Order: sequence, then C-alpha cells, then structure tokens
Amino acid sequence: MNYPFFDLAIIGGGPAGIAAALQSASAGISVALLDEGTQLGGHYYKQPFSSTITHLSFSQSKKMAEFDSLMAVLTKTNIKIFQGVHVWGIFNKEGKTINGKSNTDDVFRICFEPPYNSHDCIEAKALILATGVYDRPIPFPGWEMPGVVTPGAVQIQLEKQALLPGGKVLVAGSGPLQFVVAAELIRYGVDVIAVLDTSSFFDGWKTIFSALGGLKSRWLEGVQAGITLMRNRVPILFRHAVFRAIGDNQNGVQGVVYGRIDSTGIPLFQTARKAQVDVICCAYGFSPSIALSLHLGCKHKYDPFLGAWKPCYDDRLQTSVDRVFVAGDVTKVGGKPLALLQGRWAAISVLERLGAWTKETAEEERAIIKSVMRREEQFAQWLWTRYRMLPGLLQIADEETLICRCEGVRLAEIRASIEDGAADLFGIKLRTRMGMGQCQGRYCFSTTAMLLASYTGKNVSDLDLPTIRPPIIPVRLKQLAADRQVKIDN
Amino acid sequence: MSAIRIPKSRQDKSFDIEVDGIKVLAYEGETVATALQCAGIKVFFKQEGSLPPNRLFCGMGTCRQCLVTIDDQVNCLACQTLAYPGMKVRTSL
Repeated sequence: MNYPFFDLAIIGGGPAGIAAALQSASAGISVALLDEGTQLGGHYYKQPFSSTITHLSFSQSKKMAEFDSLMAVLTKTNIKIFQGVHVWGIFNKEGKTINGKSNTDDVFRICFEPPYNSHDCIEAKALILATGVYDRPIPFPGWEMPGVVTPGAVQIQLEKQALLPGGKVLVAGSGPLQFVVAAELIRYGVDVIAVLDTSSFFDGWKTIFSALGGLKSRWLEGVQAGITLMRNRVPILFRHAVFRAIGDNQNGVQGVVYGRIDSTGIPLFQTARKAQVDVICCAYGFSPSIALSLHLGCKHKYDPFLGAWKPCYDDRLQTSVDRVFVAGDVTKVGGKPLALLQGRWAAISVLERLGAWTKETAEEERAIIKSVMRREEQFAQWLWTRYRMLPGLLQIADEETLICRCEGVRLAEIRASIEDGAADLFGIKLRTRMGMGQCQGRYCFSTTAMLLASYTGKNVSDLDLPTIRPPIIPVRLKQLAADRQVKIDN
Repeated sequence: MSAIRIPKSRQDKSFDIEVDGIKVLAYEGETVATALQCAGIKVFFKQEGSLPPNRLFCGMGTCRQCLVTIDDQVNCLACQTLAYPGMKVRTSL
C-alpha cells in the first residue's frame, strides 16, 4: 500500500511544531504537521473551540495577534497539515516497531486516527516530536473528587470555552502557571481564596539576575500576575501545599485542608488549616508527553527537577534514535519562547541530517539563534530549580489515597506489592494493575517510581519505565479494522 | 456551585441536549463537559465497583477521567466532544 510520503513529519502543532514546520518548509523539503487539537496552536495559542464562542481573555487576545502572524506565514507554505488526528503508533516500512533502532534507508510509518482526507497513515524520513507537557498531580487524600482540577484545565475552560469555575477556588502547586491562572480568574471576579506555592519566597533570588538577563518579557509576565494578586489581597502562601480535599465523590469538593511544608516538601500536619471551597486547582509542575518517544524506543532519563522522565537528546536535539528529534516543552519546559527557538533548532538539524543543507549552512543558521536559545534554556533551568519536584510531597498521601486513579490502586496496595517483591515499576504494574487504565500511566508512573524509590532506598533515576506498546492511546477496534479495510461478513 | 459562562461570550445559538433523559442547555461551540458543569452536574459518570466517578480533571483529553456515554457510544471524552442538538448523554451504565 502506498502512503503519502514526506521528508519530515512533525507531531504536535504548538509553538515548537509550528516553528519547526516554518523553518524546514522554507528550505524546500516536504513537511507534514500532525496535531490533535481542533486548531493549531497547542496550549499556548489557545483559541475558542468554535467561532461561535466570541470571547477572548485578557492574555489570550495578546497572544492571538502573534499567532495570526505565524499562521499568515504558514498558509503561504506547502506544509501539509493533518488536523485533529491522534498518532497511535509509529512503525517501520514493514509495519514493525522501531525498538530504538532505525535503519538509514528505512522510513517511519505514522499511524493516526481518525482518518484525515481518507488517509490514516503517512510515511516520513525524519520525525520531530513536539508533543509538549501536561499538568503533574501529586496525590492527596480526596484528589479524585469532582472539583479537583489542574490549572491547565481551568485555563482551557476559560480560553476555549469562556467558562469560569463557580464559587470559591483554591489555587495550589508549583510553577508559574498557577499564578497566571489565579490572576486571570481574579480579573473575572472569581473568588480565589489563596494561592499556595511549594517554593520559598526567597528561592532563587541570588541567581535571578543572571537567569533573566535580557528576558524582559519574562519579568513582566510574573510581575503582572503578582501585582493582580496583591491588589486583590489574595494571600500568596509560600512553602504551602494542599493536604486533603473535604467532601465526597457524589457532591464533590466542599472544602480543603492545607498547610506548611518543609524545604523537602514534607507536610507539617500540625500547621493544617481548613477553608471552604468548591474547586481545588492544583498541580506540581509538568510531565513531558513521552508516550511516542517511549514507543519508538528512544532512551529516556529521569529529570529530578521535574520529577518525571523525558527523552535524552544531543546538541542537535536528536534522540537516541537516528532521525527522531524533539523540540519544545517535552525537552526542558521553557515555555513558548524556548519552544519557538527549539522548533527552529530541530528543523535545522533535520535539514542537515537529510542533506538538504550543508553542515556550514546549518552552522550559520544555528549561530543566529544560539545565544538567545541558551539564555532561554538558562531561564528554564532557573525556573525548575526554584520549582524542583519536592519528594517529601508524596508523604501527603495516606494509605487509602489513590495513586493510580484509573484502576483504583491505593497507596497501601502499592506498598504491599513492593513488600511482595516488586522491584520495579513493571513488577508493581503486574501485581496491582497500576498504569493499565485509561490514561496508560501518564499520571501515576512517576509518582509510583518516587514511592518505590523512597521505600527501597533506590534512586528514581535508576528505575526503568515500563514498556509502552501501540496503540499508545485508546483506539476503537471498529476504527482500526475499518482503516485496514478488514471486512467481517456474517 | 455550578460553573459560569462569561456573559456575552457566545453567539445566541442555544439548544438542548439530553442528560439521563433530562434537558440541559448548551450553546454551539460548547463541549459536553461545559454543558454538564453549567447545569451543576459534577459527576460525569458513575463507575462500577469502588472506582471513583468520572469528572473533569485535565481538560485536555490526556487523563481520560471525563468519559461519558454519548448516543450509546461508551467512553467518549466529555472535555473534547462538542455538544450538538438532541445529543443523548448518559452518566451511568
């Protein structure tokens, strides 16, 4: 069977993916851009789900002008956009998994659903994975209740649906997103009772000037959000975290217990305070979306700052698999400015690798963005040093707390499986079904790994992630069968 | 308390969907999750056994904790599926 062929396939249509597409298409190679959203833009350039939703939030309208100018360039290119497709597997020409090795003369066959213009597979010589990140929860008693959401969810509801969470909201976690979200809610008059932050107010001040040197826009973003919170007298509580949700699974959150944590994240339960809220908006940084790079067999390593795994890559942004590159938040969580630069950087590497550009041309192009990219990388490093994952936060969970929400696996069961001899994540998975549910371990692998490490005294970085097999997202059998034109007659 | 639509944020193209046989208001361009939340429905789906109910969590289709039954099709993402007139949503088996 013949599939549409491209020199380069980019997976993920956020800032990194768009920048990579523009850079590579300008050099004349054929490019496919695959995106699962209803529109391009990813989570940074969020647009309403449909033009019938006419409201744009304050920060959104500013981003849209920038996005429109990117799109104006994009529409003049020959980039083939596959919109609203979910990639569920990447194979070689024979339809076999890559398993960490790609032969030089082989191509990648990218399978997705639903079909787009009657295509459900394309082939490409090189790949850029710009799959981004998602919010990272840390389990606390009651986190499975209706009313506990991530800051990302609140932002998506606001920007894609013009929807505000009702009632009283507590915003908590680590990272800059929670401040942005809290400030945005306040502008709409939502009652935010407090913003809890895992870092200390004093963290990182010594190095802030070297990290932020020249990055004025980054200063402003943070300062603006802070000013909005202070003007509205919303308490910002540093070194605090959510201890427990009050309420039940039928009626949802009715209140919250929160309090101080120490510098390693260990909860100081004697400082616990109660408050009445309807919504707990909480996440502790981000997890890179690595399902595809795991499935391809790329090497990964544990990032102790994020408390999650990410793909290994070299100075060309190439992973351990030849012709598979990464760009954007999946590498460093540096936000849009770094993602745009990395997209270009990865595209330059692809052009060089495929021979469309000489080494000299590639070096010249790299030289243009090198210094500003290094500055953005430094900023990302500063940010995630301040907001590094605090392993003590896992002590907030009690024995009954769900660790794997999809399969209903509680902390006590994880502990029992380790006492039963499970020495790695795979062993825990086999004994408890942890990670085998709807989310396929996206929200519990890292947490379970941190628990396993703390119980056994191992380093998290010495643990391996379980194998990921296609389809990497749930796909209906009906669809797979129809796509392969398998007909089952009575 | 229910979620709130930002006033004047959408074109006045409203219609009804049916949730467990009860009419619920939705606007064109809204997801099932939005319509449910605005109607005060926080539990999207009651799961069998001791599993907690489905509800909105990540909002981006990654956590798959918002699955509902739509027009007899099980496991549909409430946060990513746009509502349409006459859609029938079920919040339990």
